Amino acid sequence: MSQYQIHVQPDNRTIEGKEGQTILDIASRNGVKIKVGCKGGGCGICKIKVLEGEVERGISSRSVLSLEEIEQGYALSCKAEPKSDIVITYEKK
Amino acid sequence: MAIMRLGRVQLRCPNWEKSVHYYKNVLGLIETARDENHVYLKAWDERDHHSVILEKADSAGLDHLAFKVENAEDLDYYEKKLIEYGVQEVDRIPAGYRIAEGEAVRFRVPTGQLVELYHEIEVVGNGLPLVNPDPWPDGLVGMAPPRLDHLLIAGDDVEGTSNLFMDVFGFNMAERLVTEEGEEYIATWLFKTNTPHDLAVIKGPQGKVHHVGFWLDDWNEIRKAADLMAKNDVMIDAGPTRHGITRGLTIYFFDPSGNRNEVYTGGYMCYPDSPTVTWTTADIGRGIFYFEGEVNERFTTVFS
Ligand code: FES
Ligand SMILES: [Fe+2]
Repeated sequence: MSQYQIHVQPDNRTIEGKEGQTILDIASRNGVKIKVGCKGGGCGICKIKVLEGEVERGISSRSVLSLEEIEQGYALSCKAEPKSDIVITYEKK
Repeated sequence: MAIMRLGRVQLRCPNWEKSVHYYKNVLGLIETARDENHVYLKAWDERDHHSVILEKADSAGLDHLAFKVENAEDLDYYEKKLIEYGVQEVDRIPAGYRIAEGEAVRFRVPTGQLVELYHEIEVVGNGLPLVNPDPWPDGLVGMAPPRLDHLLIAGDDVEGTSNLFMDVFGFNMAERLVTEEGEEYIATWLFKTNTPHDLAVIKGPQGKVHHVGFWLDDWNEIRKAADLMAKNDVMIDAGPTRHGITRGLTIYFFDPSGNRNEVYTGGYMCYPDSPTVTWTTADIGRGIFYFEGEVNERFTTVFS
């Protein structure tokens, strides 16, 4: 099973996750505090931006993650899984 | 000649297979029909064909909610009354538009949701005989709520939606949450049955739903529901705890598409002559979550 490095920008930290884990789960296990809402791809609270690398976005609600946003690199961290080493950023509160 | 109860909700589910599995096996509703894009479900003690319709969709949220009226003539009566009241969008949904349903009147409330009134629906019973029944049927799975209880809808004009239900349909206000100056409604709890809310309305994103609440019979069942959530990896939002408002016992959680659900018990009896209880935002913590005394951010910001 592949291991991937996730570089988290506002924290300036690199964390590691396994294939099949969501970015949100990897983040919370490593103390990166991305906001959590429904964990079902329905509320958009956990939105991140993928700056580099590949992710699998999973199923989510169009109303909180539009096709346009996907094109710009946005993803819902509760559903998205890394498919390569990635660089992400998110809004800290 | 009146609304009898909240009869159904239609929820949109992008995460389709997982959501259908969750509603049937974890929440524990019973499937009564399906077509290509919908699954029809009922809670076990309901006698009508369905109370929840799941819809395969791109986005999560509420398609519509519906109230069952006592007589077929009520549709004409309320259609006229709604138009006279100044409601702009009043339409008819023809019989057979959905499985097992007759005609419906559909209108939009000021907070943006579509609401339907219907009378005709196929009766399938609750699995128990009408003579010498046992207290529950065999084969229940999951949390197995006996019935749909209420829902909380969001929008800008809380007062407008509340007044519409009170003025047109004779709902009463069990409780309300107001700003400290007491001038503006933050939320209202409205009833037509004898429970503190069949419908609640809260200030929030227009046309959205905060949660759909199902009834359970006691506090122990809420604990068992929480066990089932943990066991099935269901995202718990808050609780088990008590509400100051309605005095209900509760736990909030999310379906696999991100729609919030609640299982709820307790509360008190309401009558048309019951006075309205007022909460001010100064004590909102105890009002919403009585034990914790504060509201988590997720609870006030996540809608679908
Ligand atoms: S937590 Fe709601 S979409 Fe991710
Ligand atoms: Fe509720």
